[in-house]
Amino acid sequence: MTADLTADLTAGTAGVPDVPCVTAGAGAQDAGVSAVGAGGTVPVRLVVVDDSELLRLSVRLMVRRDARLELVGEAADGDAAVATVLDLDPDVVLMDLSMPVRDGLQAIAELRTRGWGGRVVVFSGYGDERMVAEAIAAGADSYVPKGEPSDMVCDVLAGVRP
Amino acid sequence: MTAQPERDVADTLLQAVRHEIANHLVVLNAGLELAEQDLERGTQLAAQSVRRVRDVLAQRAEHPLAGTARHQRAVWVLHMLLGACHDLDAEEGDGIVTFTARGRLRQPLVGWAHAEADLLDGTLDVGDGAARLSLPR
Repeated sequence: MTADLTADLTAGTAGVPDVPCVTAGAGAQDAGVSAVGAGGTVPVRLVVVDDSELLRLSVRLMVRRDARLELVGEAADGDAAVATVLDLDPDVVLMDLSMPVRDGLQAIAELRTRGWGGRVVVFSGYGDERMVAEAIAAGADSYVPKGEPSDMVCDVLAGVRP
Repeated sequence: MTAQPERDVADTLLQAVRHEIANHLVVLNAGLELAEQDLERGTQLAAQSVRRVRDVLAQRAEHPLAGTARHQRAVWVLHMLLGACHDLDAEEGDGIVTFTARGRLRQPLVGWAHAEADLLDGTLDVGDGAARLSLPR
């Protein structure tokens, strides 16, 4: 349902980093190495996980404006999230909870079981409070409600806000 | 129906609508920020999110086979019933369109969804994390 504008926006948005998006059944791909941010510090490497293509595009647009962050990979479901994160070993994952194949809760638990120690920031909509509590119990580090200002989301991802 | 289940239905529906809108707020924010550098594309993105929010509030949802207002309402009912609605498929045959969706079932809405299906002259089957709504073309 989002294919109409998403492809056009993605193709025509100059400067938006094009990172691989992995779905279940596809292997994770190397998205390259970290660059040094504008301030001379190494940016926080980020993977975004959400089944909405339009939402991933929005996060891509948000992150490109923040030199503290580098988007290195994307995934569209829980299975792909586990594969992508284990392959790319980012500093932080922005994780949706409601996704096909395997949801965010299961993906977080799997990542922790496999010993992945990076940060997980749950990015979810209103009405998911019960799932958020479960996500924290499963190993997520923090929660940002969808719809918060992008500066706030970026601060949490960059680690300057809990 | 007693008062408490009615309130449960209303609360669950409200949460579901807020959940849908929250997704589009992210997109709207991104569109507005993109518009600072690329007015046309930023506006396109923001307009798309506004359309989606408008549709949620108007109690309808898009699908290529949802060619009528009743079909759009049926798709919206499935979205509400199944939380984040994944793998929404549709098929048409013998004058009947059948929408099938999978997701996280919102149990308090099952009775409401059946009532909605009746109003649409449709038939609803609800399973564990999946539902199918058939209605005349």
